[in-house]
Amino acid sequence: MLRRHRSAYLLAAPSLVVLAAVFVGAMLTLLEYSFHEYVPGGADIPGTIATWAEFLTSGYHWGVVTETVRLGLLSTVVAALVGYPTALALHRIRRPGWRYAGLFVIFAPLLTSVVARTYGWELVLGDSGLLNGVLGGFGLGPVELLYQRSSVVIALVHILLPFMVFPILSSLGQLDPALDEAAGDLGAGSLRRFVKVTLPLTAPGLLAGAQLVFALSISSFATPSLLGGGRVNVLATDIYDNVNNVDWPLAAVSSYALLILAVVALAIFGWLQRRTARAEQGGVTAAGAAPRGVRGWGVWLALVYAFVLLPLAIIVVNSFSSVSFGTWPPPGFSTKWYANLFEQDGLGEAALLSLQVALIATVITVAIGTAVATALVRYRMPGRSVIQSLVLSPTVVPKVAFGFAGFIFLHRLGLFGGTAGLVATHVVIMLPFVVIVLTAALMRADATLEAAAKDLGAAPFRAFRLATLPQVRPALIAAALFAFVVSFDEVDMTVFLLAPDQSTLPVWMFVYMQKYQDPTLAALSTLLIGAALIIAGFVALLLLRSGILATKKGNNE
Amino acid sequence: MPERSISRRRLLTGAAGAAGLALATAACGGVRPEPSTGSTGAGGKVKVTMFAFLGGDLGKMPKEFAKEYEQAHPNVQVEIYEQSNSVGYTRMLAQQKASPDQPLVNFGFFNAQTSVQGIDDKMWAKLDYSAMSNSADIDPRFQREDGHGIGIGVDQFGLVYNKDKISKAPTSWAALWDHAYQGKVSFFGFPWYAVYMAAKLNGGGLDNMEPGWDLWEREAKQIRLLVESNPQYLNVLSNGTAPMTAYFAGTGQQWINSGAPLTYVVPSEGAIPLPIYMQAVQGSTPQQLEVVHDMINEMISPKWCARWAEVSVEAPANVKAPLPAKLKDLPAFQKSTTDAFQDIDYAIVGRNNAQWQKRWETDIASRI
Repeated sequence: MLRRHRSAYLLAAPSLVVLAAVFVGAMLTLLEYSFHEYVPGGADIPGTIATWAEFLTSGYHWGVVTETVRLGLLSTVVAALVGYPTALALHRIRRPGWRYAGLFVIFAPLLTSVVARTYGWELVLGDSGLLNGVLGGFGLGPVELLYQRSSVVIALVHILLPFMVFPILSSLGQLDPALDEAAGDLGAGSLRRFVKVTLPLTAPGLLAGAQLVFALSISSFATPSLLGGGRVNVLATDIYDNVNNVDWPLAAVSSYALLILAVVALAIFGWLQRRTARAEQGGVTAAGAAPRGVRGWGVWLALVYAFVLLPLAIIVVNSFSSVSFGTWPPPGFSTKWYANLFEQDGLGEAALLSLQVALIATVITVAIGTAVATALVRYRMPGRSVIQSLVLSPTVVPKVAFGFAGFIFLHRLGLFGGTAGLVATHVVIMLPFVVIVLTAALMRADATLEAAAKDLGAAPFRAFRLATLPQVRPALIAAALFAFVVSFDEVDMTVFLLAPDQSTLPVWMFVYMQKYQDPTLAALSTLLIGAALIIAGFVALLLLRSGILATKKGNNE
Repeated sequence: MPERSISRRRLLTGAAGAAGLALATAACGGVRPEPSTGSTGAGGKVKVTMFAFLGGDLGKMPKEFAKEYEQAHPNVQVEIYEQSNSVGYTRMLAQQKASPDQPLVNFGFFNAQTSVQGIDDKMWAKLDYSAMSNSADIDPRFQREDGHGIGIGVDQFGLVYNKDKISKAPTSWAALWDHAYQGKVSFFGFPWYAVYMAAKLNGGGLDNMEPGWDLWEREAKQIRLLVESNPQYLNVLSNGTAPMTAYFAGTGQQWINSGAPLTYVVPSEGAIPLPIYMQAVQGSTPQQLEVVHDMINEMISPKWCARWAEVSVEAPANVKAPLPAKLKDLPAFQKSTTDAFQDIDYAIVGRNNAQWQKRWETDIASRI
């Protein structure tokens, strides 16, 4: 049996080794702690189920679980309702340049740190913020949105929208236009064609997006913590409180409660994805039709762009504020925060370490993630669902809990304080993003082409490289970008894994934020946005010159 | 243990000689600097890591002191680890469990609650006051009979409010649950001092917090929000979202100095003192502990105690330390304020803090 499925297991092996060595090891450490009991006063009793009993019999903790699920579902539904039409509209844009610009706008929130984004939303949604200022102009309001569940959902949808849009867009790109045309020829109207053809065929992308958004929502810590005002008590904030309260056993139990919740959700999404997958029944066998044009969707896109860019614009404006505290509009303007930024110690070293870790981890993750995604989609080996659950499980473990577990575990391995441990833990948290995006893409990729290449004598790797890889190229780029950004912006976990003389850029920002209360971080975020714009422009130029954008258009035609 | 008998003078001169030799050899091109790991720094120096508070200018004095100390003692290398007490102490504890002989930090600043917690966790090494010439000048209230730490300064909790948004200035701790301020109060995390004062003004105290819990359960709607970071705190206080709170006088004054429209009020019932201790950490090598003793002794001297008071906006614990000029006129530093401090037994606070925090989350925070 092993021999028969050797290729599948070999493809999955690198990811499994990394997960077993780092993630499973750290989580077992946490599991061990869940069977301890913390007694205030310093006592730590091992080998007891008292903490589990306390968690399972407490109405408060069940309330926290319910709030976690509610927040996850709300964020996912809203992100799907906003994300699907946005993907559809982007897909209809005729000029590739405009389409890529639109994608960049949707992606833009990921280029700012969670600290800066939260700051932006506070200035938009606050009692005396921009929104209430506008409403006041019409004699309406004020509305209390900030420090409620609503502000947390808005901010989560804002940051998680790209995770919904990209997989759907990927599915739309792989849609066989002949089916839609055939339905039209048979008399189906546009709504009927959408409901009967487009929606079912893009369901894997929608489900992949929903899976990502749900998993990230239920394990998010910073947003509910900073924008919930203490009202939005979810498992991730509960874990953070318990870690800081030195009640590690309870933090461990809460982490496992979240893990169980996520595994159930993953199982449901996995079941739905299997039901909707059509990969085995033929993929894209005809050339794509030309995009139909945006038409009425332009208004929708403009609204979404405004929603996505508003807090970022507020950050940019606030970076020129004359006062240290956040108020809207700023009472005056100054460039002093930029001058202050460049006087800070350790900023350059922190940025360098962040880049180093993010680049190395991205290369490793994309390589091993592509391999395991291929194994999961193309092979039906025994233990496939176990491998899938294992690969995706890091998404649902709060970074705070994994960081804390990793801190102890890296010590045991002797890797604490070095770059290797940081890269290894970052690979673990990035891997699910890469696998989810690539799995959705591979499901819609035409396997018959690769089979044909093999029949014609190509070796398996060559057949994959020449027949399948080009089909999933956009997804591969998106996965690499996600992975890089996830690593580059990571703070909740990394703060536990750095030695006192180390720092990454987001941790530097986090530490700065706790020392000073001024727009220096808004200035840094503005520069990061500017750098991202320059890089995006440069990449776009390269793509244009290499003809990739034109090729895409040509294929569609 | 023979190592423990090494005198500071012998250690410092001996190591200085070694450092000088290493430097001379390095100058001849024969020695490559070693990576600074463990207890040995670059060039064979004794490396110690100091824990310093995050927030405002709290890192300034430790950095200035470390720089001066390194210049005066070329055989010592000082690293500074800036972190909040809650996050930093958690990491210290995790490190203690994983590698008890390699503590994350060797000494540093810890507030009274963390100091008590550390005693239970066997985190601290005892300080030998008899070997510390400046210890006798520390206010006896901030010395410890058990030798677990020694005071360097004392912050205080009082009321902070936005003077533009609140016309009627609060004067009492009871303002926190006065319905005139309903929905205008914010707190940072778990404010044990707010529960304590509610208990105290309703017949209870640290040993009977029930009246305080009952009151806050009833009055949870007074609280607009619980903040998670200092910038968020400053923003909600300054823009009027939640214009009143109970918080540190020191941090409040730093916000006021930065231009925020806030005022610090010493409540009529007295402010709550929060001593800050210097602690040495168990698991450090005898050499590190020798250096740490010497550094702590220097840090509690009048000169450095006054500097700490200036940057942290705290009262100095050394009775010979002059009160910085810019603090003299502030209400928090008047003799009448310090004389009227609430009498707090931090042993009770430290030992109950975890339990109280859980109760706050389940019974109060879930009702706001």
